[in-house]
Formats: sequence, C-alpha cells, structure tokens
Amino acid sequence: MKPIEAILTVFALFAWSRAFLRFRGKVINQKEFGFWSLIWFGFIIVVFIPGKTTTLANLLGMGRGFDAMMFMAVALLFYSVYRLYVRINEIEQEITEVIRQLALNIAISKNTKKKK
Amino acid sequence: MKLAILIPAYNEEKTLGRVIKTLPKKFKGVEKYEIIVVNDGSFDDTEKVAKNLPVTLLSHWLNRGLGGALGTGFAYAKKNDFDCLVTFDADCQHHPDDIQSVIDPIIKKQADMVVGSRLREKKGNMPWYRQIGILGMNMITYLLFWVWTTDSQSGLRAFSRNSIEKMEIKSQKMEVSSEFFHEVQYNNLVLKEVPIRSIYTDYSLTKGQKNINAFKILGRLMYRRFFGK
Repeated sequence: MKPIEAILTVFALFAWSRAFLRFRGKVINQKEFGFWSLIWFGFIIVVFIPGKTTTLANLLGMGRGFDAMMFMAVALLFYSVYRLYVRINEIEQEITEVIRQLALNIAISKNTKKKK
Repeated sequence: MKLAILIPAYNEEKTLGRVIKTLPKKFKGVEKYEIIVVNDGSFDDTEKVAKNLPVTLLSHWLNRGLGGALGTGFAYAKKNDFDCLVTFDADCQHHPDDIQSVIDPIIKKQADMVVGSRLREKKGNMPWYRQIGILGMNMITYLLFWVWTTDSQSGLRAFSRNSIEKMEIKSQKMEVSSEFFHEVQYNNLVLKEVPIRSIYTDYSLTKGQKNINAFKILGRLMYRRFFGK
C-alpha cells in the first residue's frame, strides 16, 4: 500500500465515522447515512483503482481520471453552495416573518386595548 | 386621506425623540396621520424613547435589517387601510417640511411611489463620496430593474395605497432601497421624483450605507432580480 493510499483511506474512514455518529445520534436518517457511506466507500475504491477513473474520463471525453474527478467535485461544490445560499435566504425570511408577526400582534393588541 | 409615517429605527436613542417632535402637526390633504416606529432589535434605549412618544411602536426582538423593518411597517399599513405611507429616517437626515413635497403627488393621484431626491437640485451638504456611491447604486438599479432614478437610496419616499397593497418586500437589509424600484417595474406602478434637502451631521454620516457595502448589496440584488419572483 502506498503512503498516499493509506492517508486517503484513513481520511475517508474518519469522514465516514462522522456520518455514522450522526446516524447513531439520529441527526441524519438511514437514507442520508446510506448516501454518505456510498460516497466515502466509493472514494476508498477509487483510491485503490485510480486507473479505472481514466477509463471513465475517456468516456466523458476527458484525458485524465483525476481531471474528470476534479471537474465533477467542483461542479458538485458549486451546486451545494448555491443550495445552501438559497436555504439560508429562506431561513432568514422565515425568521423575519416570525419576528414581524410577533411585533404586529403586540401592537395590534395594544391598539385594541386603547380603543376600548 | 389617512397617512402613515414609517420610521425604521436601529439604535437611534439620540435622535428619535427629536425627529418625532419636529414632525409637522398637520399636512395639507391629510385628515389624520399616525407615526409608526419600527424598533429593529435595538440594544440601546430606542424602545424606551419610543414608548414615551405618541407613536405606534412595532418592536423586533431581533435585528432584521432595514428591509425587514420596512416590511413590518408595510404589513401594518396594509392591515390598517392607510391611503398613503411615507418612510422617514430616524437620524435627522431629512427635513420634516419635505414630507409635504413627497405626499403631494400621491394626494393628487399623480404617482404610486414618490422618491425624495437629494441629488435632483443638490440642496444640502451631502459629501462627495456619498454622491458617488448613490450614483453607482442608481446605475445598478437601472441595469437590474430598468428604472432610472436620481436617488435610489433616499430614505424619504411616499407610497400610495395601490403600492402598499401590491409591493412585496423580500429584502432584509439595505438593498431594500433598490428593491422598491423592482416592485415599481414589476407592478407597473407610476414613479415620480421631487427634490428634497439632505442634512448630514457627524452622527448621520456614521449611519446609512457605506460605499464598501456595494458589492454585498449588488450580490443580493442580483439574486433578487434573477431568482426572486
């Protein structure tokens, strides 16, 4: 086993263990845990058969397996950031709506008392 | 006509009292008016000051930004059937006499939104770097929303009942100033400008938009333009 293969395998196992702990703590459900297990064990497989990624890259019209992996990883990261940005915006709006309704309810109930 | 004067306030304990006390008692064409102060999660005594004034106080427990505060004011105005709403800054930047100038076109049914422009006749003491910042924002507003104005960032604006009912404010922070023009374009509202005075003091210069925030605001406006409604 080459040193880089060992390092990457340890890293992948560590990342998988984080997902396992979250699954055990019921922070993520079975489907999410299954997804992350697939990702990290798939990562370990690719570490040991780097030559196979070149075959996949050639199918996609790219020269090297590493390039194909990097391209897909960057595309996935961009999409994840976009989704996070959208979700954060939604949450900000929801927080504002809650704060707004609280403020309006208190003002309206005070106005109603004044009119009585 | 029933008028609401909406004053968003974030940590304005020093100036809020003075602003409210200097507002005119009457306006031509207005039968009654109500002052609405939105305390946007202030951590000084803004809320305490507002409670001792003849205003309707809407208090946010958390700071939501200018957009959040104005949205709350609009929601209140919509629920209470106001015919006209004026936004007015709490930092003594506006002259109270200019309120009549901005509401006149609404009363005469000549416009749905009136912007008090500090740059139309350049009355006042606005520093040159603020003028450049506003010009930049005017261009961004035009490029994104196809509405030209000489002062997209003015805090003194008037809205008709039609605007109050149709406008949906989604911005949280200072980009709301430009978002109003998106709403004008989206809802086919009539926009008018009137010249107003700008009053800058050392205190008010610490408030308001800084030119360095332009990139953040641009990002949020682009998101609103291309991914909003």
